[in-house]
Amino acid sequence: MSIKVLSPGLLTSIQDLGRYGYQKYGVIVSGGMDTYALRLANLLVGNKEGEATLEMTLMGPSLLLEADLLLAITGGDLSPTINGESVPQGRPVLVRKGSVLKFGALKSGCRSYLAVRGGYDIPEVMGSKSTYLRAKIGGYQGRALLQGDILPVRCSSPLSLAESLEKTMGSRSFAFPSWYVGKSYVSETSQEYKVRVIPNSQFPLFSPDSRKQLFQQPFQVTTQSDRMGYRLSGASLQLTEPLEMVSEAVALGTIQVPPDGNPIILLADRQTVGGYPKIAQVAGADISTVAQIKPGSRIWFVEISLAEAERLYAAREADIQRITITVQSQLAGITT
Amino acid sequence: MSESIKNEISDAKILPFGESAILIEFGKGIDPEIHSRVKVFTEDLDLNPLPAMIEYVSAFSSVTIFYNPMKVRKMQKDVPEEKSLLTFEIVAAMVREKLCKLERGADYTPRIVEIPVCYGEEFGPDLQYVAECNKLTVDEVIHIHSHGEYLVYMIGFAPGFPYLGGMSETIATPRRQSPRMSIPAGSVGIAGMQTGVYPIATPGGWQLIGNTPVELFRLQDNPPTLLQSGDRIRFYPISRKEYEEYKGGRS
Amino acid sequence: MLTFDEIKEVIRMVEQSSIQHFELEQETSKIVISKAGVHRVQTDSRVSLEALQAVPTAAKGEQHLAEEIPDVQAEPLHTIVSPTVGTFYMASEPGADSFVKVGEEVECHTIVCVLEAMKLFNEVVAGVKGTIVERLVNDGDFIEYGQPLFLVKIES
Repeated sequence: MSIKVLSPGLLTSIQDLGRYGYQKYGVIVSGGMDTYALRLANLLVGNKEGEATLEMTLMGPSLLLEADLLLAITGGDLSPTINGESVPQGRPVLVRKGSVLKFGALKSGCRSYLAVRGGYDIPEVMGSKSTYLRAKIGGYQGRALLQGDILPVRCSSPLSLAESLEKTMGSRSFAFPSWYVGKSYVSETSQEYKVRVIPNSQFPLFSPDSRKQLFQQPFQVTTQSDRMGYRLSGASLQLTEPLEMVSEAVALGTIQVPPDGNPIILLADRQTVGGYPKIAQVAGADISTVAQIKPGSRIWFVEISLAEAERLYAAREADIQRITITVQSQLAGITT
Repeated sequence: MSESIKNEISDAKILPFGESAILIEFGKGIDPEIHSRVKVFTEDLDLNPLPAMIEYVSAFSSVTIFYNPMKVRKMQKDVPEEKSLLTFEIVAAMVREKLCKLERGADYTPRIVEIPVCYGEEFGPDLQYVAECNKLTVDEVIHIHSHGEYLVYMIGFAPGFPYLGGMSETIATPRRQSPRMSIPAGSVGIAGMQTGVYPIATPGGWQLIGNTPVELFRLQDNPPTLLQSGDRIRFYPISRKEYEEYKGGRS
Repeated sequence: MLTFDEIKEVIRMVEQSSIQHFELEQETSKIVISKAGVHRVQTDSRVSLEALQAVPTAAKGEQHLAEEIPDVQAEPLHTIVSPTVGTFYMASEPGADSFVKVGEEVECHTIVCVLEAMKLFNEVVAGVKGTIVERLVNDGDFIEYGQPLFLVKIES
């Protein structure tokens, strides 16, 4: 079982939930940018939620499915089609061998995830299948996908749902159930997004004006944004007085401010340590929203307390737990 | 909850860092004494990891612990909602307890790692420049660089890349005006008061003085790096022939 | 932890399936639903479920059912009823166009709405060819199993 890459898209790479435990050796975490969408994609095909998926960015690939496959697409809407026919997101889709899954124009979001039943059969490196692009390790030969690549897919026991889809499929090239899970982000037509942040312990070191500016005007996501981080432009944020700072660890969602005053939100491919002052920390529950914001859009930061961030985090996990239960019962053929 | 919690015994500051991490500051600045506390603490973490800990990152003067907040929450499942603590407070209490158990003035035994370097030739295109900058001969630069003992303060920037302290001021050289697009793996360089070794090929602005045939990043090993925080390292010069033999012997 | 409403939904899902025994363990709670002695328990559980039901929506649904009967006799109207419990949505996401409007023609496979239960969205199809005459519920309403959603004038 395999998938052949007919055209690779802009940046298509294998990502799972990341490589943990090696940051102290300078090995970055990597992993999916929108881990909520990534987990959903896996749940929808009955995989473990942390299985490797294909992360597709802005412009998706064209893929030839060389076997009957059960797959799921989540996250940003890259107008996926199978043999030219529109295919829905957020649900398991059984697809016939020989079909072409093609991603087209970006309709909303920024990144889309493709999970296949059984997962991509590639080796783990340091406990993860995520592609660490700069060090060229993990994923598919340590790099983004290229034309002609063949992605092996692991065999897995058939799901009851796939069997019933098979029966209703007839001569069509794909079939899907009448239920789906909602999008991982709120698509905004205004191109403006609210992102909740917790002030960092270095927040008071910024000038009173900069501290106000952070919440009183929007910041634009520039085109110099990538998997490592989003570079923002807006008010120039400045410290009250120069700070002698030595490098220390950074985290997913850390907003650091280099001397030019333009904040950077650190994301999946962030380095393990950084030497710039940190003004705030994006709430874990809003990281997936950030991951779906494309360059040119604007972010309004909203201040929340640590207690609120913890509550949001727990609420998000509870949501995923609910989805897991309902989806698993649907996949096992327990219908309501 | 941005207020720091002082620890009577070690004076380490414990600070929240988002809802999934906690920062422990042992002091400010680059200082072997402060770093030794970092190392003593992380050695203890290696032996007795905190429950719910995912991993830690140690730096010059601080340690950051990443944890799973859901696992921490579970630890107080019998506590009624209104009395429940922030997960940060629970982790902070565990860290504080750990710090209290550490002996005052406790130290660790550093590993000594010797790294062979072929100085100059095509490996060290900036060796001459470093000498000129400091009004020294090339041999003097090699002598000074290979007679120091360097402390690995932390690993970061790239897999296995050591931030080293202890270089002699007499060979300090500013960074290159325009960074090179690619520096080969194994390159030994100087940037300002720092010296370092590049484990993988990356762009960079360091003044290159030599190259080591030793691999600093080893995917297949655990740990995957030659060096770790707290190591003390020495460089020793080798000839071109020894360099080739080392490389050949390894493959 | 599951809310009271979600526990109701789980019970309902299990009840309407062929499952005889269901166990769900979460971090702090465990639910065991067993249908031993199917006939008797089924009756009993239905009674208890009715007692649990959110009274206003259930009552509203019954009203519509009652109103519908003379209508059906007068002209060929089809009632699209809910196949599940859940929250009623007219569109696939906030701000999007609704699936159908009153006065619009539908085919058997036209999606008329979605019902959300425990984060899962279920599409409801018209089931008949005809014209939507009336929408009987509002966006965001909690819908019971079997509750009427739309009236469709069947094409003759």
